[in-house]
Amino acid sequence: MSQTELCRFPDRFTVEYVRTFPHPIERVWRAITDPAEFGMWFMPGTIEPKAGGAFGFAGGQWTGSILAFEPPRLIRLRNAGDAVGYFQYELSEAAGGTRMRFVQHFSPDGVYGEPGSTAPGAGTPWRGAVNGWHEFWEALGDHLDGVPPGSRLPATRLSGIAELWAEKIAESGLALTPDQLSRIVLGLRRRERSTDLFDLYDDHLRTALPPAGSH
Amino acid sequence: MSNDDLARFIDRYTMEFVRIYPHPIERVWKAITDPAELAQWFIAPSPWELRTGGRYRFDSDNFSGVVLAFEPPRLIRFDQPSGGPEDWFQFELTQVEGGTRLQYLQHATPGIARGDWQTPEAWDTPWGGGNLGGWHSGFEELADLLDGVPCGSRRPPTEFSAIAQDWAERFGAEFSAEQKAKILRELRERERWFELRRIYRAHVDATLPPATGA
Repeated sequence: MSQTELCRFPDRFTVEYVRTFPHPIERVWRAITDPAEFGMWFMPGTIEPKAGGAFGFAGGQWTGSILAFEPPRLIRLRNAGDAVGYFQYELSEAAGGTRMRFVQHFSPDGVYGEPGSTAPGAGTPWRGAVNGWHEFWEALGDHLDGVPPGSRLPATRLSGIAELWAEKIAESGLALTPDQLSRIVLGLRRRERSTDLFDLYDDHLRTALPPAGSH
Repeated sequence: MSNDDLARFIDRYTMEFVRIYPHPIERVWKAITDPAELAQWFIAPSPWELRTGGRYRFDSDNFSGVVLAFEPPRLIRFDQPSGGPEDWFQFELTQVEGGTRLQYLQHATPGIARGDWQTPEAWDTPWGGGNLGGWHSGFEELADLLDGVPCGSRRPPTEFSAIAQDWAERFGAEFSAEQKAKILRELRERERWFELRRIYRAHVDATLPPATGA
């Protein structure tokens, strides 16, 4: 759970993340492109494994097409209705495993957010999205290592309270199974991490995002 | 939800909480003697024999014994032999202007080491942050029960409870709305207890009379 691997902005409308996972390239490729795998760390969905194929995530709320499909090195996707933007995963063998480079690009001509907003990253699509990707890469790392996503987040005061609550649950009359309890405790910790990342990326957007008009 | 009305030490071995509730004495009496009401703001008792000499037990054998006095709607006193031969606690109610005064008194047998969990300064007392904080929290929830709102539902939101609320909205689909509300209230209760535990640790350090002749 490193906080140093924040995204980089090659330009105002392009974001890049680099991660290295201690697993073979085929393993990482499968985790990214196989619905049975990405459903565990990303979101449920489908990917047609060919250029020109379709993808759909989150019950069809997020759809588009596959621009490039080159196992086990590159998959590039484009959202429905978009003529310019894309997001892609590039994999390469690296010392100790596989290097993943993720790039997402949006059209500089798009309209993003409320006009006149002064929120971090205003006028770009990044706020709420860049922290989300970061969270997904953490979950992907957990998934590849074979542990439940979020289960390696360090304990906090919140998670301590939640664990204590789970231990005392028998007194409460709530009939929850041990499995449900552990999912609640883990889910709360993940929501907390999500909140932390949102704040972290607000700061990052203020300092690292190239200003409007720069190229 | 006040942090002002902390427990008071009458002497090193006797501790008191005082609360005034804007409800008739019979109503408060019911809340401290009816098992279903106790379960809501404190702990479900079993057995629960409401007569002098009757048995009681809250959640563990360490919290059990017999009823020493039972005088509705004014007084109920219990022994707690697991603590010491002279350990007792009681609820005493009196009618006052605008409602009912509840005095909770607990007395501990002097000179008995209470275990590793206790701080060195309080070694021969049962007064710790956890149990005093637990009572304090319980009396807050008793006020909720008497006022007819779910126990714990009036605690102000915190960053923690906001995260829990967010979790419930996004990922709690397998739980009913009622379950979710209860989970959120209980998590907030645990957080409140953590806070009170810290407050009471400092309070015991600052106000517990020292052991005499030590």
